[in-house]
Amino acid sequence: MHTHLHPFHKTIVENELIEALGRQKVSTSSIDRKVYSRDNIVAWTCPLPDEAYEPPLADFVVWPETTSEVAEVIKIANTHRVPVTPVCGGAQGSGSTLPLFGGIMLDVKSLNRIIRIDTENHTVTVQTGLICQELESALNTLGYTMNHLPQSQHVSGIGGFLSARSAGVISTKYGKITEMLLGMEVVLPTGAIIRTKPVPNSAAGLNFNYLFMGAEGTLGVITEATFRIRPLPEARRFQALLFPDLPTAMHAARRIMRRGLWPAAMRISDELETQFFHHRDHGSQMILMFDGFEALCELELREAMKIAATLQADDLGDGPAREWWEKKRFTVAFPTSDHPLFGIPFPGFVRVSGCIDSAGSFDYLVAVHRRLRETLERLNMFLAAHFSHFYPTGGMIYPTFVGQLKKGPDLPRSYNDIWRQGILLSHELGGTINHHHGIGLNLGRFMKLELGEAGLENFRRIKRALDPNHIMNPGKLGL
Amino acid sequence: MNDLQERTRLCSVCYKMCRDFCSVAGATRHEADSPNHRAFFVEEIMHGKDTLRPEIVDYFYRCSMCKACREACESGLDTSEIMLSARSDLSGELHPQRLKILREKILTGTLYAQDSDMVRALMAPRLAKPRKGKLLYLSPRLRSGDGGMLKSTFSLLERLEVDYQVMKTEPSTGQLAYFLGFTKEARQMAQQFAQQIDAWQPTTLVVFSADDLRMIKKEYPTLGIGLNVGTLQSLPEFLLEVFLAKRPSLSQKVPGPVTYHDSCALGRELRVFEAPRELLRMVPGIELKEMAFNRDQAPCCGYGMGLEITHPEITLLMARRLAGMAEDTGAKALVLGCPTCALVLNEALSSQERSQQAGGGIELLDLPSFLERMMQ
Repeated sequence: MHTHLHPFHKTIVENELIEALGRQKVSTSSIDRKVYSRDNIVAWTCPLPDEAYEPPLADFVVWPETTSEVAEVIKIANTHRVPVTPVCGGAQGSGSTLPLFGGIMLDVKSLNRIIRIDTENHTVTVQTGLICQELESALNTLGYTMNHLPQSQHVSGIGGFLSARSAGVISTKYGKITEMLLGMEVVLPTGAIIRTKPVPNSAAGLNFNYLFMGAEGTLGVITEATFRIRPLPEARRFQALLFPDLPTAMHAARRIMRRGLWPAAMRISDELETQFFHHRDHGSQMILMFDGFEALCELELREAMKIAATLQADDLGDGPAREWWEKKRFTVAFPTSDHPLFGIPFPGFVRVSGCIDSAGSFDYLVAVHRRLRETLERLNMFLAAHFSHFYPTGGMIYPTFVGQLKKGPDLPRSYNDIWRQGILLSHELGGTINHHHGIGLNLGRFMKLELGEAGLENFRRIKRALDPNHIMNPGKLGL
Repeated sequence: MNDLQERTRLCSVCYKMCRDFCSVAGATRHEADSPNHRAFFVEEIMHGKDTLRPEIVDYFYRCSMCKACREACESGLDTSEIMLSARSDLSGELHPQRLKILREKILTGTLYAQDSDMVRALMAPRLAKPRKGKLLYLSPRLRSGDGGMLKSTFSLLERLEVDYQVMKTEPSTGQLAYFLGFTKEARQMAQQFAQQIDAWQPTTLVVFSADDLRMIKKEYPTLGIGLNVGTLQSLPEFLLEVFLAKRPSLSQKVPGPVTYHDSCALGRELRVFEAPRELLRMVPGIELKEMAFNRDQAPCCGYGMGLEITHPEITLLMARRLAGMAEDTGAKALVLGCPTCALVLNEALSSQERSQQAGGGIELLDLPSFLERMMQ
């Protein structure tokens, strides 16, 4: 793989791309190239784009509109050994879509057709460049939904969901994107195209869907996908509860799942998040949302309230939960001058933040929260967490750290050290190193922890087999 | 740090939550068209990391000034305000040649064609000496069209026996100059507009193009310009007032579901959402379907306060996108409350292109033409 193209070689590659796609779909403009050097990891909240560090720049940006055009791009890249970095919504925060070695930035957002909505069999087939809200709006007009609704639904796209095995805020009931996918079409690193059948289930050998989901573009480009859809719920019921503390709230969550209830959303804020985000002076707030047909919602809510009553929960009514669903779940992402993530740092400092999310058993969640708080506070970071995306066996912790680091040559090391300590802790206590944000560049060095030495080596073998010229999204996932 | 600088900084560090709503980014699908990146490049320039090279100057003119980003942003950040400031601060020598030519045409009134024969024939019998009453301001842009919308409007008003006046020659409100960043020239044009309108002393000034009305209501105060008129009305508001007073029989059969597009000026800026819908609902049996992005989320048609001239290739993409969104509702007709939107869409989308769309395409109708058809 070439990391620095000779100018003459660059011209040849550019010409071939233009011949394959047309001039309008290929750009070498500095503006187009520069914007792909920014993702949520390299906004001004992160030390990496500090004055001393030049952003990684692609050589070309392409916007194919069909699977065959994607295949043409990849064949050209293979011929010339040029790296390809696929990107969809660009909402990831791990640097997965940064073009570290230059080459071709392959933006799939022009693959934005809805191919078929099948309301009889409850499926939708789409090109993967659609932004979530675009798909959801189209489904809603027909009375359907995909039920995959992350906080970033106005930014993130289908391709990114599949690449990072994402989760939406109502995944407790409806699953992650992995549970919604039926079949897909993938352009391999050689330009060959494979398709998996969009069937409910199968025993015909390996499930290739799981090979490409979560691969973050390192094994090919997903261009088309079929998902299950469901009718919009007849009813929703909301409830907010205030538990004396986090362990009690977590115990309530455990019992709710054990009872066989399926809240669409169950979200527990730790004491700090309860204080700063929900403006309460004590306790741990839980938000519940049940959806479905009316009688089911009423029954599930009633059963959940019985559990809450045995654990000394204060009934906060439906207001806070409804407000969260309708508005507040997006609010934290909008910048203001006094926002902990976006405020101006002290002179000589850089504001840093991140989410060291992981998943594990219920016992794990309580333990990792306590230890993470201790560890991050020692590093002068403020950490608040919530817990969502629950399962019968446990759930996910969403701990966000915020702080400031001194500018200077030690800055990247200090920043990386925060992640290293947090990830090591998650692993040591038995959790996964990431639940749904993806690995990207930031966490690639921890993949040996997650997979083990043999696991990572065999992942690399698969990579070598599928991508012999190592052109697809190099430098990511620890590959 | 002043307020606009801080807003620029905040916009540039955002997680681009507004990108899905941006009229340009939604159409081009290009990451660079996301509003937060526009703010980012202004930040780069302010901090000396980039310069006002031609590529960046051109980039600043890719914003349609539609303010969809402001509506999407819970913090109220408005990238168009940042872009307008950037455009206004550009010195003349930085303007690309085509912008200099455009400026010249705007100032000399030669940007749009003179009234066509059809328009001249329509206007001639309706001209009169200035007197108090309802004055219709059509705008040079609308008068440069084929006159179809004007014919429908005059026919509608005269069948309903509404007294009105029109001007033989119409000054520009200065909206195009203003939003392209030629603030000084825009102020001069606005002053001339105000003087000419004041000579009529209308009790009501009906401003056909929502972009002109936006300019008068929202920007004239910041330019220190006042108008001596009784009431300022948009076209839909005026027509609703007429229809409520006259109660015409709208008895023609509607050829299928209808959808409506909220123009960015009429909707987001002037908050006129219900008047056109109330008019449409006066048609018995009408099935009105809303587009996925409607009211204050509706995308710009492509006029973009000059975008159709500076970047016609983007206008085409925006027009196609809007027509596609309208088709997705299953409607047979797309009604447009702002005549400028109707002109832009009809000019951008050829009849061949529309007939090739699924289902034979969607008919594009300005509001007066639709209502007149319902009255026949």
